[in-house]
Amino acid sequence: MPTHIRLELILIVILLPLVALFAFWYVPLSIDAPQGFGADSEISPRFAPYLLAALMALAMVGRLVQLAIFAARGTMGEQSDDLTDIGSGEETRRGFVLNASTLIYCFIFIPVAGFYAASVVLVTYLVHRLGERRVWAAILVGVLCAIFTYLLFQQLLSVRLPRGEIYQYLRG
Amino acid sequence: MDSILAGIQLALTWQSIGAVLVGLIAGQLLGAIPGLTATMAVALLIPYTYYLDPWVGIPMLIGMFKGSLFGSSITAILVKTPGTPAAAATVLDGYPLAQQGKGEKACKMALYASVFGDSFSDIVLIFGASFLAAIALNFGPAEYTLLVAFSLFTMGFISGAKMWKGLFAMFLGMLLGIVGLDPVTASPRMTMGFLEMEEGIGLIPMLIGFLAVAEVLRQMEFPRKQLASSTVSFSTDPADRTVSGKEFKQSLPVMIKSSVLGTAVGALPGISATVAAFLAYNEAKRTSKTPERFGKGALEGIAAPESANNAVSGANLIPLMAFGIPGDIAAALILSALLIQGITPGPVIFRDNPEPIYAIFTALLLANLFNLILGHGLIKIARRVVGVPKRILFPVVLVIAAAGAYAMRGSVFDIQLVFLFGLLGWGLTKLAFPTVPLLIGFILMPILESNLRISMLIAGSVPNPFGYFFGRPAFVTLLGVMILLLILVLRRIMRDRQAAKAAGLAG
Repeated sequence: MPTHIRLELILIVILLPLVALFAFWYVPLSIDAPQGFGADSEISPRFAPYLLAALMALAMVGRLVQLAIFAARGTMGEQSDDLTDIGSGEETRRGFVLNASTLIYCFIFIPVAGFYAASVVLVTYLVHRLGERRVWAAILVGVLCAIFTYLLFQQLLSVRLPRGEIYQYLRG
Repeated sequence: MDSILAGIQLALTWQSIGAVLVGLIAGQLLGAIPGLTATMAVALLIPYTYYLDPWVGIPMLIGMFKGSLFGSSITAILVKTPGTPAAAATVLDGYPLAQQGKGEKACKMALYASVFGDSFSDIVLIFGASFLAAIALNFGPAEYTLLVAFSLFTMGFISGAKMWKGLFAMFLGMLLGIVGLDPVTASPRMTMGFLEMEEGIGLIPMLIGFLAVAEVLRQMEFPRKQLASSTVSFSTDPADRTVSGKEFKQSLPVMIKSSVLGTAVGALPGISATVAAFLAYNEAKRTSKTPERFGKGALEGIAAPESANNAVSGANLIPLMAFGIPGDIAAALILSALLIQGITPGPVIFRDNPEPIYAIFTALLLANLFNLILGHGLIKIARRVVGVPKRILFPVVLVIAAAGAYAMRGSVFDIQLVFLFGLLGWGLTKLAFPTVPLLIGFILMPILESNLRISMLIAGSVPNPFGYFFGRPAFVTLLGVMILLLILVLRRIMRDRQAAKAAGLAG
């Protein structure tokens, strides 16, 4: 069996139980069906999530049936590989690190240090990480980016970007 | 007639004309920067239009979109990096021409073909949309349900190499679209206890996250040497820098045919400009007397995909203007900008308040004219623009994306959503799930759900539920037309795929 088909099967094996969990556990638990709009009613708030979960499951089961037919015909090897362009393992690892840095930026740095300081740190880190060897140049890009954002938002559009907990603390 | 004149007047103020120009220049420059796609550029600009007068913001957005489409063709030709997937077919002949030092000639051909295709489909939009809107006034919830479901299914079926992934992504987008208070009972759905989520997930964080952040993150993981700028040499021979009258004449039949094809494809919701560009390219090659020139730097190989993909962008506004249903992501972006400005496109606006629609039409035609004029200037400075290093550009884009998302509602939660959607979009791209059906599913779900639930309520209250649907002439006609269109388009795509497969095997 080609590797990309095996990966596709693994993906379906992971996603199918997740969809089932969503439909049978999360929806009944989190969406109330008020009096007169019970789960069996066509205008129940649960109607759309149930329908979509069923359609998602159907799309995956359909693909499993299709793969079974290909296997029976012996044409599995002729199927197109859509996973060739997804990048190497090293690229994926880099992607995880980059995603983690943006999440730290928005969940920790911005609320704590404020938008401008957080942006200087993020831009400096990323520019350096992406290949700028000169640290001063990376810092300069970060500072210029913050100045540009300040001029555009604060001065031109009168939007006050978040100042952060530290600023609030220092102001008392 | 008074409405038409009033609409034209709205778009012909110096502020609107200036906005088109500014939008075009910004769009062309942003689109010409490798890594910044046209949709990404427009998604980043949308929050700023909120602060502008509607007749400054909307013309600017239109200008920006048209400019960025042409700008993205420049990167396809000069650095083999299509700014949009739709410009991928332009690479086939554009890049070989650039390698021969004829990059300027190739860019000019792309400009003429883009403006030609765009103008053609805009004219069809102007005459076709009001006619369709008049028909749409007779539509009820059943017809709207059918129309939206058709748009979604064509989108899900034909985007991406694996059909199930397209459908799965679309259903996931639809699930995200129902987060918030239920429209009938006002019960919270999938809000996870966040008060901010009760209003639903904001369209802007979603668009910026999926279109800008996910794409930037995907490109930032490439090896460092790929993040350095590329250069290309330009010939100094005047013949290599301009498109002669003879060359333009030779390409004109291809441009007309491709524009018709692009307009037809674009008027159907869900079929992308990429499909149209490749269909047009294959058609131009198939009907050429010298097909062997294609792939080696044929000007018709640029004219065909460029006129087709630009014709799609105008024609995609047909379902948006007539029914209020965006045909593709570009139309969805324009829809979100219109909604921000309090304009809801659809059949009712044509009847009750058509001035904004005619103003938009005027802005579209103006933008084409200015695009043609300014495009020449852009080509001259393209050499500098294509050299912006990605390692500097991408981090700055992330900060602008975050600031843009915050500016809409003044909420840090929206910034966090942008990066969470960026992560989701990045993950989906890594697993080869197409993201466009997800976004269209997200946008169309509220329309579908409300119409579907009303239809089911009505059908449930009559003795024969099927009779309610199939007893409506508009529903049956629409269903017939859709089935016919779907068969025709799928047949064409299958035939082209088979031909490509056969050519690949033969090669």
